[in-house]
Amino acid sequence: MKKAITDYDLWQNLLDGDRLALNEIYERSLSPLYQYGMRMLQDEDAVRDCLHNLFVKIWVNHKTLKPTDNIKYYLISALRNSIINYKAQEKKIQKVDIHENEVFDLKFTVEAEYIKKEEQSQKVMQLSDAMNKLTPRQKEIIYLKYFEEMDYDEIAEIMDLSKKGTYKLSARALEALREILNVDKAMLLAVLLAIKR
Amino acid sequence: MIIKSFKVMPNKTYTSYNTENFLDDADFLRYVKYNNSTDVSFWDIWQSTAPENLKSFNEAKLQLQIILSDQPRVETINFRDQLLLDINGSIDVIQKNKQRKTIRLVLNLGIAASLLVFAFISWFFLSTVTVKSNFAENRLVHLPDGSEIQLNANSVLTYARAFKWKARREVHLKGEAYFKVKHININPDQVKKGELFVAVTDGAKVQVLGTEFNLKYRHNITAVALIKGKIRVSSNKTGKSYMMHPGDFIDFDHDGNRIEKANTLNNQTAWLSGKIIVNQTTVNEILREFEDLYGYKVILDSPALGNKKIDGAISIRSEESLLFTLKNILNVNIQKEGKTIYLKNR
Repeated sequence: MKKAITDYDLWQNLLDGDRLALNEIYERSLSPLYQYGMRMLQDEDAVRDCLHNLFVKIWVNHKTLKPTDNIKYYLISALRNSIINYKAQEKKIQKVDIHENEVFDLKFTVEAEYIKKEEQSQKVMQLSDAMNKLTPRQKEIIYLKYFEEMDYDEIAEIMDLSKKGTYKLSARALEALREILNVDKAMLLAVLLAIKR
Repeated sequence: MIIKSFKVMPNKTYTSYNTENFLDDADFLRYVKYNNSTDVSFWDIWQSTAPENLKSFNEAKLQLQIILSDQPRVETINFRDQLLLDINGSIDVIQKNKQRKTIRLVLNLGIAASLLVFAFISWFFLSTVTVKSNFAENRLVHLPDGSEIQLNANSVLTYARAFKWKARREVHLKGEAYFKVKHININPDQVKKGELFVAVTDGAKVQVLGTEFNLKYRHNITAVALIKGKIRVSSNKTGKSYMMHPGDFIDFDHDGNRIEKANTLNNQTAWLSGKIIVNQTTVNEILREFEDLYGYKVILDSPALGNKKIDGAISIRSEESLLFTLKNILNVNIQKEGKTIYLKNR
């Protein structure tokens, strides 16, 4: 079996101007990018535009890009920026406050058969209700952590939390999160520190 | 879907883990998320040992299952293929435009460079070099072929910048100069391109191969005195040409007529040693020479004085010495007003 090329080498090939590397990167990372984009935008055409521009852009700028050993992380970060730019443009055109109807599409369902056991149903309902009430940003954090398996440092960097300082988990949100995830206060502090760094 | 490479279970007992520890553990997440057979058997065995924190384990597993309950958003194959086609199409267009731009740039640069070369060649072949000596100033000119030309004061020498590239070496003179022309002709019966040297004044043309001669053109009169070699002098007006031998002297007036005149060569080239040698020369002629060389206008009190003839050598090295000589010979007082000199009878 052919050994798969590492992220670092594949990315390096792209930086050297290899078109096949770009196609390989596309094949490897489209699914997570699509999924993340759809949860951010809920509009396939818009996601398609953002993805199209993202891949064209990394090709056009391939000489100036920095090396990376985590392509998915790099591209999700880049896609997030282009989606935010897209939203900003939409806001200009449609004059809608994006914060009002900002959604991160992550729905917790109880239909899954493995959590349908009778004795747990009450607790499951409570939990999923509470989790569905999380803010879009909190949902995004959970998504990046458990679906994309990123660590808190990566999440903080992608979401630009340290820079802007605009994202402040309110006391209530913190409490909700603690309740939901059953995370103790010390742990939350660590998360918060990682985020604010 | 993300295919995680299988990792060997780390050497952890997990017996002290609480719910949040489990939720933050990558191996636990992998177990709940992907249900790898190795992971499942590991956790089955772990549960069968009835650890104290089994409750935390179940709680974390339930929470994670709820979190992961959301269905993945999967793109269609059509979406995936079509988007890749579009991306590659866009890149091809950009690439082509870039190439076209580069070709155009190279083309433009090429045109610009050619124009520059053309301009330089035109300038080189069409422009001339002008050497000018001021009043009371002699200049030595070295021509590109090795010839030397001593310019007397108030004279202008002009020659092509591409002097050596021309079919014949040609210079133009206004004023007076002594020529030492480098002889580059090998076979005198066969004069090749570039071997012929031509000195031109508005009145006459001197054609030589290699020689020394004095050429003077002032007040529409061309005077040629040959010192060495053989030259052919032709009048621009009449077209008549004369072969000259060493020691010969020819004058052309403004109508191109040859003026025969008793003169010696020393007289013609005396200026090289800072003198004029006069031999039955009128004062007017001497004064005109002085005017030519030093840029003054000389006014005589009595016209009769101007016709007086003089013999001898007069120094022209400096205007003072020349004026001093004149003052004594002519017995006049000298009065200088700017660029005009008055000679007054005592």
